[in-house]
Amino acid sequence: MGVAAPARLAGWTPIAVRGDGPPIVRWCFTEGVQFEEPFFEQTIDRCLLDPFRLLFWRETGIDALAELAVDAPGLEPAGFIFHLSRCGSTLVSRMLASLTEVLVVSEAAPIDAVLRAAEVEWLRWMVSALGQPRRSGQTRLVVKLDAWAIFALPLVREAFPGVPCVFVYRDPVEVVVSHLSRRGYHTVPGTISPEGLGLPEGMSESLTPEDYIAAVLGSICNAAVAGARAGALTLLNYDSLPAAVEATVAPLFGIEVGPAARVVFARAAGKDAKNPYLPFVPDAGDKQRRASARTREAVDIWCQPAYEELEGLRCSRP
Amino acid sequence: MARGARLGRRMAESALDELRTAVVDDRRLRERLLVAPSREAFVAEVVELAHARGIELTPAAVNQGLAAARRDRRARWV
Repeated sequence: MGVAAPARLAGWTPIAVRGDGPPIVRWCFTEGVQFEEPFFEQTIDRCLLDPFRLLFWRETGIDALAELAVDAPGLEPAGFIFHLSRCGSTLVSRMLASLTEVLVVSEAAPIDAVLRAAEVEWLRWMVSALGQPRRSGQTRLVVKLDAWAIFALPLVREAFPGVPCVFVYRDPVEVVVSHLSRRGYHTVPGTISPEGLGLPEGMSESLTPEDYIAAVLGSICNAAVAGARAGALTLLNYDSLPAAVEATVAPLFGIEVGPAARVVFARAAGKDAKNPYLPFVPDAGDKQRRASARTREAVDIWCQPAYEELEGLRCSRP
Repeated sequence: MARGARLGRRMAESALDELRTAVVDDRRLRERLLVAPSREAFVAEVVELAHARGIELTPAAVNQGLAAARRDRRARWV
């Protein structure tokens, strides 16, 4: 297909970037679609149940994003959410998304693609394209990134200087237990290169599942330690949720929380963040009970020092 | 796949691309296709729109296009 003129891209959303050769952006017609699901990809999958939106895609070069950013700039990001995975970060994004003025773009594959390309302009353009308000009154954009995006924190800071970033984390024993029962993308060896996870080349081949998962999580924590030390990250422990969303995240992102918002927050916090049809059930105790001696040993080796450093940095700040 | 079948599939893809170019920029056509009440009705509408523009497209080709788009979605782009 030919290159689409940006003026014609109103109502279209970039849903993928193909990177072999000059990047090609694929767009889906999303006019009238609310981004209500916990994750961007779930919203797009719902869109693509409609045969029109599935069949009538369009493709452009990456430059169309730049022109769209000029013709119809999206909302400026109010904040970025980085995280360890399986740590309450979706609860944070769901609570913020429950406010009518907030648009949350959560773990969007097109953002992952431009982060991997390490092109700062592309990142600005992509965030602008994805930050188009989806309903009237939406004035704040929050971008939740994939767990491995922490390694691209300097790129995010370069693209959006001054925009606050938080890092959500949790006792790594509980995170490893969660990944052992259902692996996340980044904890499956081979899905992301060791370099992309801050690990030495060839590392995954010799490690047990417990060690590999703990090594990935430890590497993420180490990157967060570096970011926090540089003053680029505000740290949030799972234990401080959900109260920290109102007390810390909302003010940091410039989001006002009045009495009505508190009611909405409480409702959102009472649901399972990844499946809002289910109530939230605390599971820290269960995960601790299920942690084997091998899991605890792997966490001690790979994660504990960085986790303790994160805790030290968090507790030393007002 | 036999050479004839491959050729037929390429022609169908090309016809679909031609129709896609016409539809994606035309609000009226988009709205018409978006309100199709079922997948079958949608396929019939697509074939009719194509014929009205002199584009040779069969229901089977439209269904193949839908299946290809679904496969493409499942493959992770990087």
